[in-house]
Parts: sequence; C-alpha cells; structure tokens
Amino acid sequence: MKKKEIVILAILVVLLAAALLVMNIIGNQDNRKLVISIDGEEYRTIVLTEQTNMHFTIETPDGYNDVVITNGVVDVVSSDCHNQVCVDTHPASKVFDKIVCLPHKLVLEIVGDGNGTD
Amino acid sequence: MAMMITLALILSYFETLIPAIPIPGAKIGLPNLVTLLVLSTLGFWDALVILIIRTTVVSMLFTSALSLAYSLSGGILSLVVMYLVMRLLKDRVSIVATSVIGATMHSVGQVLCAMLIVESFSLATLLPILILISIITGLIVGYSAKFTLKHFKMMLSKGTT
Repeated sequence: MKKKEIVILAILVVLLAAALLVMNIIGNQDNRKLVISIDGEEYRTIVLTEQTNMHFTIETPDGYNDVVITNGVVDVVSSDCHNQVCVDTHPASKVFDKIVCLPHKLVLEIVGDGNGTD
Repeated sequence: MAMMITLALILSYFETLIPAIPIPGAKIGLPNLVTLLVLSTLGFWDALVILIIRTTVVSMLFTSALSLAYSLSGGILSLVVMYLVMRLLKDRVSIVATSVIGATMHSVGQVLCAMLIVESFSLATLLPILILISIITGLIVGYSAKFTLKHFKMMLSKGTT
C-alpha cells in the first residue's frame, strides 16, 4: 500500500468509527418501538420497555420466524430460512439495531419515539 | 480459465467452513482473490465470466436463487468499480487498495440489493459497520493477491492454463 492510500483509509476508518459511535449514543434513548415489516409492509409494532417479555411467531409467506423479547431485548430464536442469518444476528435492543431475514423479506428494527429511521 | 473457476469455487466452499465473523452475513470474500488475479492479468471479461459462473454454481450448491441476485449485485458492482479503478488510475493505485475498494463496493451492492428486496431504506444504517469490516477483509484479500500475483503471472507465461 502506498502512503497516500494508508492516509485515506485511516481517515475513512475514523469517520466510520465516529458514525458508529454517534449511532450508539443516539440509540440509547428510552422510548423505543419494535417495528416488524414483511416485504416493505408494516406487520406489527410493539412498544419496548424494560418489562417487555413476549414470545411469538411471525408467519411470512415464505416461512416462519420465532421471536423472543426478554426485558425489552429482541431476538430471533428460530426460523426455517435457509441461511439462518436472522437467528445468528445479535439480539437487538438499541435504536438502529435491526434483525433482517432476507429469504423471508422480513425486517425487525428498533426505532426511536417520533423520529423513525426511515 | 476452468482452473480459475474451480479455484474460486473451492475458496467459496472453504469460506463457508470458517465460522462467522461478529456480524452475521459478513464473509471474508476469499473468492474475490480469484477475481482480482484474473482482472489484473486476463482482463475484465474473463473476470466477469468467472464471477457469474462462480456465484451461480455456489448458489445452486449451497444456497438459493434469492441469494444469487444478492451476491451477483455485490459481485458485479465490485468488479466494475475495481476494473474502472485499475483502468483509469493505472499504477497510481496498489492492488491492495483496489481490493479494499472492491470489498467495500461489494457490501454497498449487497445492501442496495437487500433494500430492493425488503423495500426499506432503513437498511442503510447497516452500512458503517459493514464497510468497516469490508476494509479489514479487503486488506486481507488484497495482501494475499499481492503475494500470489507474482507466481500467477509466472504460471501464465509458462502456459499452464
């Protein structure tokens, strides 16, 4: 690598790290909602608090996803999708966190109060 | 040519054996090593053919049709950008940097494709972490390519393909 390239790369890395940091800070707000959408259509919205404990199954046209919410932390515990990326994804708890199951066109995302992420 | 496709396929399979990096869905992109080597020796069209055959066969063997659209969009965007970088900037950009650019574009392409599939722009917030990982994997693949390139050129000149 040339020196100039290393400098550009370093700047880029710092910018990205800053973006992640900012997202992390904004993400720590209190009024959080879980928005579940299938193929772009909103399917269900759940208000998340520290006391939210639920277990439910989402039936999509392409298969199912089992979701568990423990103390406001959302996790997909099982699915019949082929790549299991949604199951392997870390549980979501902060704004901007999301769990995506592409084979089922399913998106679970956590949004803040009033100012959604899209 | 056939040997390169085989090599790309083996690397794809090998990659599925490596346990996931922190973010699910992220991969090292070892097959990109082949794309890089072919692109910098045999040219754009050979690299494109290898890319298309590789992704098609991999999706038939290990995954599904949907993930084909997904890896093709990332792969082609990455290939086109790497080609342009090599072509327009010639010797001013090293192969390692080209690899990093390619890896980044691969992530961008996949996220764009995913946005189309789930019809949601909110996936854009996944980009910072994905690009960060791409830079690391791009460096790994780029340095591998740098060291392999010498031997690869030697092999080509002997006509073993």
